[in-house]
Amino acid sequence: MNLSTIRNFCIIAHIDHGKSTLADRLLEKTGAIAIRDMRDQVMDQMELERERGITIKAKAVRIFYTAKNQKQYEFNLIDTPGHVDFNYEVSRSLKACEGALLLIDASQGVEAQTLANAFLAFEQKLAVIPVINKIDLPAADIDRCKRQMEESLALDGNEAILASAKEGRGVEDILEAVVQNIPPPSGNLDSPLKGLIFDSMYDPYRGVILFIRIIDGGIQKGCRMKLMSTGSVFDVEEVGIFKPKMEKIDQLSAGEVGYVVANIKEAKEARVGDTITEDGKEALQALPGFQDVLPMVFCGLYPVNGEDFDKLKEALQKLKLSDAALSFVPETSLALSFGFRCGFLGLLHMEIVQERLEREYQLNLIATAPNVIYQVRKTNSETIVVDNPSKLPNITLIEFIEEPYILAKIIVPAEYIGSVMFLCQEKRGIHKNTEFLDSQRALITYELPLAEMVIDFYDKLKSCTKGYASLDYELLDYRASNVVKVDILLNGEVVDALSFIVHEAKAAIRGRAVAEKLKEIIPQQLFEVPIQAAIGGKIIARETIRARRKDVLAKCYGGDITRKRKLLEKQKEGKKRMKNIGQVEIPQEAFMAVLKID
Amino acid sequence: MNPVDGNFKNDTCMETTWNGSEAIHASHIYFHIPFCVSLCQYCDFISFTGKANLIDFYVDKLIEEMDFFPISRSLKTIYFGGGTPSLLEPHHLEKILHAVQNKYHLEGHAEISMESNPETVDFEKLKAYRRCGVTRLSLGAQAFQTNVLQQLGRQHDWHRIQCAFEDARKSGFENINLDIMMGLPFQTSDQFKKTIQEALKLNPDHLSIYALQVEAGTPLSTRIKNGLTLPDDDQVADEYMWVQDILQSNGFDQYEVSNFSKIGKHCRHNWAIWRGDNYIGLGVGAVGTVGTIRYSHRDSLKEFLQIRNGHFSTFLDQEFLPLQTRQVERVMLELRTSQGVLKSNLDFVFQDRQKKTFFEHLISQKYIVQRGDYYVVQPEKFFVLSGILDKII
Repeated sequence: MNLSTIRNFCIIAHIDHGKSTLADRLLEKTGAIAIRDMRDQVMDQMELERERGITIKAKAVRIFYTAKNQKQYEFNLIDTPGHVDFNYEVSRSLKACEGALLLIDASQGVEAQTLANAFLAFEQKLAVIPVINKIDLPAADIDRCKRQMEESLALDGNEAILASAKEGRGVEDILEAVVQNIPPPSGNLDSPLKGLIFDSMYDPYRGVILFIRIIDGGIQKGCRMKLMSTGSVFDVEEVGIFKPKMEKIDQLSAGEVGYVVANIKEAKEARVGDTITEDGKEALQALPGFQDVLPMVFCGLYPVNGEDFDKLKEALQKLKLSDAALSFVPETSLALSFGFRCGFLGLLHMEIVQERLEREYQLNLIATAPNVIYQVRKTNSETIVVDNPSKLPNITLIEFIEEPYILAKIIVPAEYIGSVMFLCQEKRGIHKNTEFLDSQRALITYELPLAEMVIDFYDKLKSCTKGYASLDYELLDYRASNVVKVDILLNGEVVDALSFIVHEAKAAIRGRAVAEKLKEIIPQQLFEVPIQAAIGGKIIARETIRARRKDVLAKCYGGDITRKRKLLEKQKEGKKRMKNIGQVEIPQEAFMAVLKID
Repeated sequence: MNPVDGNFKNDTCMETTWNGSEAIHASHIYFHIPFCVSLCQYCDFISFTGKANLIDFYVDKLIEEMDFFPISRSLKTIYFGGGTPSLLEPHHLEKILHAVQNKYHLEGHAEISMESNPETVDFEKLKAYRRCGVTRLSLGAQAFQTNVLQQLGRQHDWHRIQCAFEDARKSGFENINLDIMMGLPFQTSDQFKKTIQEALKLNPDHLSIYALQVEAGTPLSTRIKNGLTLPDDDQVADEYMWVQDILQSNGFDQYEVSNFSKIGKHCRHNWAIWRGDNYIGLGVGAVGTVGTIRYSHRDSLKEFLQIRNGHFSTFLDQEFLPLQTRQVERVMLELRTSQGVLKSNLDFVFQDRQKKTFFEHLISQKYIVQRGDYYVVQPEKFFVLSGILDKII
């Protein structure tokens, strides 16, 4: 293949600006799939992705396009996720590209992730083609979009392609622009193999499937592939491309994107970001690679039924094969016994993992409320990392605690600036800047404790701006902070899985709110259940769940003994979804109570 | 053996199916009379309206069915339940009881109990029932207030109840029960208390006081789906405690969750069932339990009447009760009674660490007390028995 006819690109956009729909149109237009085979949004393979309308794993699809100049081009379209939690995957995907289509919803304009993704593309010196999408919408405001592009991204608004992916408008122009404006890859076919692992997925039958961008040389079946970071060598069993179905090909060459199967059992054996080369014919220098992705949010995951521990372990291991960002270590809780402390990129990532565990592995789980990581300096000068509130050392042993801060960028229509600032202040935010993108929209920048964002920031932001705000964030640093641990006691005993860390100024209010919420969530029991919140030994809130007073079926005659017994058995079965702690039956959602308070 | 003593491990007179040939060790018979003048809003027992013309045939069929159940023991109790058993004319009753005497051995002091609706009986009829041998009459009174009775779909008023009660006394009934409901959607607490006070004025020997259960498929459940609200559990629990107090101070003994009697006037039939005795049920919808078998009649009146040549077995559904199920049922039923459950029958509970801990907690919290060899639920905790049971079964 001639490098000059290859184009590697991706589509970047704020969530819901129509990325997957455009990808579908490009596939359809180039005949990669027949229209009758189209399910909407074919690039989103996982059932969950389709339901949630977001894309989790980047995929690479090869399509062929005959341009107006009559030449045939090989396009490698690399899909990227759209949610703020998955930013790191975007930057990985960009490494495999020379260009990006920057998609902007004509009715929404530039949003926080439009900015964040565009800047990632600029950093990597990609050719960026602006596309204003959804121009068919009545609320479309093309001029405004162009103005925003010019002001906030320094892109020429006149160069933007006007499109409606839904109606297929502008697709031809986009394909031509890819040919004209995105440079072909550079690379040397004759040099030793050098390729970037930009993503991977796990297939239960074939093991790890690597997504590779070849920089130099070529790779084919039988090649002895060497990973430059570890030196380990694998025999290549198959190379191929997605069209969008997997298709074996003979060789992947410099400039191309495709997959490699090489009998790799686990994702950790071949890390994303590593450089591949050929054993015995090594490239001289490895590619820069990626930064490790660090989990930011943690929670405990416990099987409701203790016997499912091994099943949960297996399931997590399997998920981890395809999800490098997920971390987990076994932990024990007095209340919930054996489980795992799991690390996630963010709340959405956490919810997706939890849902997959329950849906794909039929696990019945209890998740504890999410928390961030704290760096604790102890009085003996030792610094420890605490990812579980119940592990926070005794207050007398603590010199100080540092918590992670993020830089949040919020784009919002001007009339909501006040409410956003009010929310950020309430969340202990430090205002950095407010600038107007145009006469109607502002970009507000705040430094915020990540812990505050983990609670309910995103939901509150959406509701206080009627859904108009968009958010992007990045981790800044760790800062000393006056946080304390609040314990929750049921029946006088601390339930470790309900402990949480919170800023001292909010501890009393949150403690009371959680106690009240638990009173709502935990059903009446046979016995009275006192609920207390405490800091150290000091009780800061108390509620009481009164004992249940009536549950018996009044009448029992000879004819309905069987029925009564079955009712009891059913009732017993229903309670199996609850966790027994002491003599208290606690529903699963109680462990998330701290998230559910206003 | 005496089943009341609680050892049921060897009373297996039948293995897995019943074919009508072996002798049955049972001392209690239940006759289901599935006829009513009208159906009550809350009732889900099997009953038919407008079929009174079939009672003659039905009675004959009941008698025929007795042959299918050759009982070897002498009968201690007979119970006519419904439906509305008092739709039976005295000659029907006479015919049935005559057949009982012919086919089985009836003890001299057997209890013969009969449910009745106040509007279906008068002095003459009650006198005739008494003459046939009925010893215990149960009157479905339910409530004092006429509007409440109407809402329930009942056909009488309190005056009718008073008359029926006095007629029953005059006819010689020395054991009369009144059925009263609580937790009704149409009744205030004060109205419920008034009902109890009025009932006490009649000086009944027995009171069955049932908290309303909303059964799926009843007209009442439809009304509740459409927005009719029930009194909350707290209110009903308050009423229950009130009723326990007032009946105790009026000389009643609470011998089961919903049943109160003067000394010696408890319902021996129900007591036997709650204590795990074998019993035979006859008629449409009736259920019986003998050893490891529980059988139930289907609910088609037409099919029942068409059974030919004694082929009753085709009309019965049978359920095998494995040991574990019998253990569970025993605890479930016995804990409903004031006698409680025999310690040794709780072995399966004590063998489970979690259940044992829970049971000990129940004792420490005085939900359950030990009385001799028995564990007994405290009467004030009867009302949360389901929550106790689902953790120990």
